[in-house]
Amino acid sequence: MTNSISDLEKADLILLTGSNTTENHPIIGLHIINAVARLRKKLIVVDPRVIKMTEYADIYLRPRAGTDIAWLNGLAHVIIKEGWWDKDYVRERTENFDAFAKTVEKYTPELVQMITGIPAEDLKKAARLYAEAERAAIVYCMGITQHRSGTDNVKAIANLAMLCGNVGIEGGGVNPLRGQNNVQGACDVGALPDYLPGYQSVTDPAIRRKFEEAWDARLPEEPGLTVTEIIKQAGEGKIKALYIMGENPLISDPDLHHVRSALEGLEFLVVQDIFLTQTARLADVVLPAASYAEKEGTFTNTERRVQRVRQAISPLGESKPDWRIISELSSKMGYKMSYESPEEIMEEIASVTPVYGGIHYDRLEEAGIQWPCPTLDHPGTPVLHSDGFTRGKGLFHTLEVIPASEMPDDDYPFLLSTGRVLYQYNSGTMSRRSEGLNKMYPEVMVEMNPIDAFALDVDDHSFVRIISRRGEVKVRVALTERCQRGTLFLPFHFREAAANLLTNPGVDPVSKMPEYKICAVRIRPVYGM
Amino acid sequence: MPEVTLTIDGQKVTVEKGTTILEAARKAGIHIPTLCYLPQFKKPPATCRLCVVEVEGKSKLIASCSTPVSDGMVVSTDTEKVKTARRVILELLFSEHYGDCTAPCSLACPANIDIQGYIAHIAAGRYLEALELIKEKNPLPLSVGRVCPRFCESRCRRNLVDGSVAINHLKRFAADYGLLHQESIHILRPSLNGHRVAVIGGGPAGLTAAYYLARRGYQVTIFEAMAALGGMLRYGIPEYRLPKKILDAEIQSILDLGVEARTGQKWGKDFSLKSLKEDGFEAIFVGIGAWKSRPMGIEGEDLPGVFSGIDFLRKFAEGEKIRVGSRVAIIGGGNTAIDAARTCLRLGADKVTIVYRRSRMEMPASHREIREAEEEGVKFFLMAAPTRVTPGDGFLNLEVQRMKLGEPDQSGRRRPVPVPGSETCLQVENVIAAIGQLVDIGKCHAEGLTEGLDLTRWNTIAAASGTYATNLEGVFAGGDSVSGPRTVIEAIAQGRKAAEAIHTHLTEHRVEAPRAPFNVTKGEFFEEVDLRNFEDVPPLSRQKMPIRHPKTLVGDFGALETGYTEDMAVKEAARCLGCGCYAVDKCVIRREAPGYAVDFSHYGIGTRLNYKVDRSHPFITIDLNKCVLCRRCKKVCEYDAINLEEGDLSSIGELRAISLTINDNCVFCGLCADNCPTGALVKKETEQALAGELKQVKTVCPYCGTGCNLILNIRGEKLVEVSSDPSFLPNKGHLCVKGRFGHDFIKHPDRLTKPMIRKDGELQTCSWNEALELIAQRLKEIRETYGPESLGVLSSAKCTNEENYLMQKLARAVLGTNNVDQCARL
Repeated sequence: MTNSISDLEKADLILLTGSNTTENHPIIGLHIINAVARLRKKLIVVDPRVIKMTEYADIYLRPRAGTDIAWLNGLAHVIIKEGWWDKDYVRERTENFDAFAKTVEKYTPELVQMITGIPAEDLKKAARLYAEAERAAIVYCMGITQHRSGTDNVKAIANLAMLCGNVGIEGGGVNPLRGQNNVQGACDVGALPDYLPGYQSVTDPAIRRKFEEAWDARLPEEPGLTVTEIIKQAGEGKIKALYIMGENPLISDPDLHHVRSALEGLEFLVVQDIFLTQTARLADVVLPAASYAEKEGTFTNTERRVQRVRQAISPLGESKPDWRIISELSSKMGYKMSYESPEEIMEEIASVTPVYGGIHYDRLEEAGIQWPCPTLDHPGTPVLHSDGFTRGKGLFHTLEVIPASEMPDDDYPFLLSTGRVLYQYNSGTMSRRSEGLNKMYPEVMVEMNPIDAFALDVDDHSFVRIISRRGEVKVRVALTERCQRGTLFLPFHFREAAANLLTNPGVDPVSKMPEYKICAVRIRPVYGM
Repeated sequence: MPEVTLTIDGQKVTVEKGTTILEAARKAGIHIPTLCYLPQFKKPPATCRLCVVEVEGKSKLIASCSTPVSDGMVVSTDTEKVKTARRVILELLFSEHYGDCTAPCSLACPANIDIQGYIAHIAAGRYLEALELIKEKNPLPLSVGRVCPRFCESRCRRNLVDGSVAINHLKRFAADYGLLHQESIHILRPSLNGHRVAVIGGGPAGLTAAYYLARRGYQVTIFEAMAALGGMLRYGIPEYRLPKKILDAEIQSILDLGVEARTGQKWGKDFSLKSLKEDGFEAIFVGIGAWKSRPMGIEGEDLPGVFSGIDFLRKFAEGEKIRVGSRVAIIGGGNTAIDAARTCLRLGADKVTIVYRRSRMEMPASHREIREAEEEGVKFFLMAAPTRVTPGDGFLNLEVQRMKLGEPDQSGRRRPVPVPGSETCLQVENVIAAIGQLVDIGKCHAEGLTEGLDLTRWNTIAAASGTYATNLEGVFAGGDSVSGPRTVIEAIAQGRKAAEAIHTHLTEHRVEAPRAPFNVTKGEFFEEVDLRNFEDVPPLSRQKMPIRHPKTLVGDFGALETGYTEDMAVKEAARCLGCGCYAVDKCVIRREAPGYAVDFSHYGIGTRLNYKVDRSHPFITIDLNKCVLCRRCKKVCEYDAINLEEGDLSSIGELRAISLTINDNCVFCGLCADNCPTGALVKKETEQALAGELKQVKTVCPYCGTGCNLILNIRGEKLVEVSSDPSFLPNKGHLCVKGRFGHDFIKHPDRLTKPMIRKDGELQTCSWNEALELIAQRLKEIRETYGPESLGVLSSAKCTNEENYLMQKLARAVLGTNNVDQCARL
């Protein structure tokens, strides 16, 4: 997030898209509900699926899945045409506006209506509401990013925010809600194939030299492979050994049949986890890790706040914290890692990572610090880009609609999106072992529009088979008008009906993000169950 | 902000203008009780008025939570007027408050074991947790689980439905389970604190004192006169009730804490109180038991063939060859008499008769054991007392006189009165007198061997109740030597309380009995308990303890009862009604009541069930009988999920007709229960008791990227509940259903606890070293054969920054590849 969670209450308007906030980020949802219901702020919700937040929206736009660039460009089109954009901001802080304006020129409300299904009038109203707000925050999540055009979707959002001068101000910003507890931190400290800690490029010789000195080792020069590429290359026999810590690709990755054969083809697989996950069952060596309650460390949340994780109980059995396991393995391989504590590791992170330069355990006792925090006396940064963009000027991107790699057709007429529900979490490793949560959501169900169900002769709660070009699952149906006709929503937490047996391995070419929000499937009712 | 200075209880306090009196007092460290007050709300409702204070110049008491300070204000928070007002407010709240703070079973137990807690653990399959909880109060559950007379079961509310829960059998089950799974019990051998304590007597009281002192880090030495530890457990209770190998295992578990035992050491002969102090023992616990038989005081008592019950049992336990004739008379109706009778049967006696001077109902022995003895063939000659024993030809003539019952004596039992001319004679080979035991100390005392220790007029050791301190500094005493012959569980209770007193004596140099906890009950006696409490309780009959057939029993000394199976234990545990309140530790009115001398005689106390307990919510139980109408639940709920309606107050301000339901808006965040000052809203997950001190650890939620601050409330090694501090971003005390209730995975039995290597196609456990060596070797081989680009690493968005940093460092600097990523995109 460029801004902070509490900052949402300072916005005059929130544009929420691709985020089922009350289920996936309930506390952020609460902040937004508070802003709307108690502080009388405006809310625009854009989502193909009717969600709880639409009840609070001043305007709800319901696009067809995968058409985000169209309506985002359409909003910009109206705002430019009506002259509502922030001319000073655009002149002083951005570049490439003219090319951008030229691109969006053709995205008239009428064209947008044809592509997205959003009524032209609604789009105009939304554009006005957004442009009139002094401070407008855009909040988005995987509904924007898990597309073939995910990166472009994000750029289109940034375009809109810059157009109205909403980046770098309190109550504004472009605010992706990060999924996992420490996905932000994992990226920050360099668990990425192309970046060393602090988003320092592996291809920059000066950066590499700095780390080679700090670590006393030669470093590889070429960017590495992403998760999806690693799995792909494992399937092709190029990756021979894989060391997996705290991940369960056999539930969470697209096209599970392919993932399984790729992992089975490895010469050597190590899995380090707190449970014997589906993935761990295939491993040659399984290492028992300590849970979050059994170790010290830090997590960095979606608003870049680095916070202390503290040990409450002893590691169960012979399990050990991951940092200790990695250190011991590294030492066995001849590279000595002799850290006494996570605090000592953080001291090293701070010394090589400018944005974490001022992060020190003593400073994290209470509320944590939001990076960038370059020095020990720096208070942290609740709002990014307030003094200008990292690259100097904010760049407007020219973007066109890119169709998904697999769209419904005669053979596979339904569009399937996957996602999470409130009571479960990702591959279910944790949440499915929680008694109360499973009482609340014991069994996976696919959401289907009642009109489609009628046509298919399917009753509520009856079983259907969902079949894609890659696999099939059997699952009960929950009829709901939350889903548009012709679309289905399937949570991916359940290995019994793993949504990712169906999903396609298409990815965004830049971010390599899988296209979880769109794949084509057909439905076959199961009778006699 | 301009500042204001005021005086609170004579203390000058300077605060910002606009601060309330309550906030100013809290800043100054002065406690004012509150109920309805919530700091996050700008306009406090001031409806409960528990926070009233007196302000100089104002005739009425004012609510401190809603009154801003002013310059020069003089506030008193503890005047009589304030105290009276708060007392009346609390008394009115209690007048409609209906519940049990502590379950009646636990109150009836001399050791106050958290029975409800351990039964809940058993019901949930957490047997070792159950045992851990039992051991908070009772270090001898293997023994007590076999011999306890079960005061608890006599008070069990389930008696009002279909018979009490088999509490003691469940205790035995947990203890037996622990014995079988010893390797998984976490023995906390504490570091020594440098103090040494001597325990004289290795019976239940002494063993207990030693155990709790050792758990606190004391170096304890037990001095035992007999050849082995155990006291009455070893020498007074026969093998068929308490097998010696079970007892040995139990004693070993205490010695495993580092307790030293010196056997064959007799007080007055091998050591004295003085010599112990000279040897560096800073405190002494005396638990020498009651080993002397009470004499019958009749002619022929000293004849060969006549012995005392306790000596008989002791000699037998010591392995002495004892022979009894075919006919034996046992005098007395207590447990020793029954034990002696059943032992005689097992030694081959044909006819064993218990002679007791009152009726069967009055027999002090456990009625279960009386019944078992009868089933084994013991005869009873009741309403009869021996008058003399005379020698016959190869046998003894025992003359007995019939009795009738007269007026009740001090014990409440009707006094037996001889019936003149009713004498009759029994021919027996042996007479065993078991009419009571005395503390064997009178003679020593007369000879000055007790070193100035005060005795009572019954020749027991005089010790203060609650602390068990004697008249000698640093000397404490407990068990039968203080109370006279009683049960094992009473000795255990005294041993533990004495150990606590010794601890405060040595650390804080004071000896003070802990205050009895404040308690509200639904009725002390069964007839007081509103039967509507049990309307929805389906009948479930008690699980029968499997026993060997009585006829096969008398042939050997093997144990009679074989113990519950796991299935039986879980079923029996499910019968517990869970009477005690789960909010007992956090309850505001219970905490405040003693300080204001709340007296239920003024306005009464709830005596009837006015509201059905509502268990329909998946995470929260609603018991409006405990609601004090503070309305905090409704106020803190951000989702308008609480429907709270209330009728008018009665003329004296009592609460009436509350209705509280949780509607469909509920997102299961648990904040309402966090804010309930009583047990009206309770998180179901806290409906379990755990052993150990409560500690709070602030950390971050492991679920989504919001990064909510969490407080893990931990007891021992277990998570009790999750809360959150309202003063911190980003969640300000709010949590979602996962953050609040989704943490039981931490202790899930599926957790991996050992490294594993695939051998012959199967994953098999191995050592850490073996696993890491293999990984290092294989990764090196593959890198050398195929190059570093053939290696990949998946780091984790669930792991810490430090761990992700090390993982990418491992990939890059050690494995030589940039093939490192995590599931940011998934």
